[in-house]
Amino acid sequence: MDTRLSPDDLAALISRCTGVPVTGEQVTDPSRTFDDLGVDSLGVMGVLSELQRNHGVPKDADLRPHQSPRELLALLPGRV
Amino acid sequence: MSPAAVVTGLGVVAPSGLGVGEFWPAVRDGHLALAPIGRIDPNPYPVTVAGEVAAFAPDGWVDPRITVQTDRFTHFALAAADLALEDAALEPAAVGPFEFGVMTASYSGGVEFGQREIERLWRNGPEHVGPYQSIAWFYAACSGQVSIGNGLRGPSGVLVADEAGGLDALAAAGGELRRGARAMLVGGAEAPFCPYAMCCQLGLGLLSTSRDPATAYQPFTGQAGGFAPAEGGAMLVVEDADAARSRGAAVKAVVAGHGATYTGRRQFDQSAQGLLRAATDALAEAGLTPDGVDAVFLDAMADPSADAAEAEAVRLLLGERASRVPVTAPKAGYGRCYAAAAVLDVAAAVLALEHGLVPPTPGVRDCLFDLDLVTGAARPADLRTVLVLSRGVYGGNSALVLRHPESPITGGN
Repeated sequence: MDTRLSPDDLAALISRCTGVPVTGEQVTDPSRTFDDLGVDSLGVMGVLSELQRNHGVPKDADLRPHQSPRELLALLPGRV
Repeated sequence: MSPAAVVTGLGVVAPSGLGVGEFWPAVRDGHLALAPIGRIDPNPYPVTVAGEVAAFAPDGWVDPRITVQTDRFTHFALAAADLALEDAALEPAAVGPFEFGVMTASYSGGVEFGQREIERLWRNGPEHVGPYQSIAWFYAACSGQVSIGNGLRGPSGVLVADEAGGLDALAAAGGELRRGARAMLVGGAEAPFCPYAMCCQLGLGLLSTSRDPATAYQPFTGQAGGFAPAEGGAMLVVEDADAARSRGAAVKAVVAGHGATYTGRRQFDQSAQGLLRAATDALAEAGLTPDGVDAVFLDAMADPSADAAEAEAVRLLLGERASRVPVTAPKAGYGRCYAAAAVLDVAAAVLALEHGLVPPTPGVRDCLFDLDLVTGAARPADLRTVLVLSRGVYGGNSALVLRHPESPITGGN
């Protein structure tokens, strides 16, 4: 199971799950929230589920649309 | 205030074409749009001929964010709604948001999306089911997404009322216009080609197993051996007559009357009386008698007993005129797409009124019944009033009366 995701990989995953075009740069910008990107709560849930299934994010992790993809990146194993 | 509901825009996504610019010439010329099913490959089922909207992909029609959240049937509805608004030259924001609603009919729901998620559930476990399954499969998905996408917050709903629900949706929209809505997007869409949905349809025992697209769907003939299923749909802009007039809209047809009955599952012999009663009620609501009917768009199940019952209903309704009032089933050229089938018939009937032509029943030559079934080429006719008949495979029978906009406005009460 691949647990190593670059910002570009995470951006591609968000785009695939939500249909919202997202760049690696946007993913690392701490001031940009999922709301800003146009990803709603169901979209965030889909992204988080995908990361929990295939990328080692803990089952009890939680994420809301007012949070940023940067915060999500921090949840990935092996990252700070 | 005038009670009339008028059609001002047509949006069609059919196997015969996208938009009325493609759909009408194909229907008028009896073009055959049936072909081997490509969406289920390899196809292990006995039904191999269908009407697919093969040229359609959501890109360019549907916001990518919505594409991942929705099934193909909703992609069809969103595209058809855009086409209808464009055809009506109506900007949704020009109508008060609470005065513009959406009414669709659905038979299958979002089956392809649903199958994919259910496969994930049983193959990998509950945590593998995506969150959008909750909204994508749902019968109301088309009404909801068309409403959200266009900012329409008026009275909206979905009818899950068998195949004839396609006509009932027009009547329900008319009711909302009488209660104060100014405009409605009305119609339905179906995308029933995935293994799960195909198995559901096979259980009906009504689908054609012919392997030849040219002869697979031959209603009202001695070769009638079931219908070819289809995907696609249509949305119509239906407005209050006064609202349409005040914005200077071009009125295509008046929705003048509707009737609906129920005669029980798999009792097609009963549907003669059911259709007759529905048609009589629809004409009465339109303030007309059967003498006023200039053409009939038939349900055309292509089941011998269902065809006989429908021919009997037309004979009982029209009496000795039955053998000379043109009747037709354009869907023989592109298939029967469940709750959207009758909506496509309404679109074809509106175009027939507009062009003064009764389109043919493609591929059919020898009608078994004493009806004036139009075959071969479209027939010129001075059409004032057209009757559309629809039946569901589970026993619903509905009828809708459409009138030429220059006919005296009656009915709708």
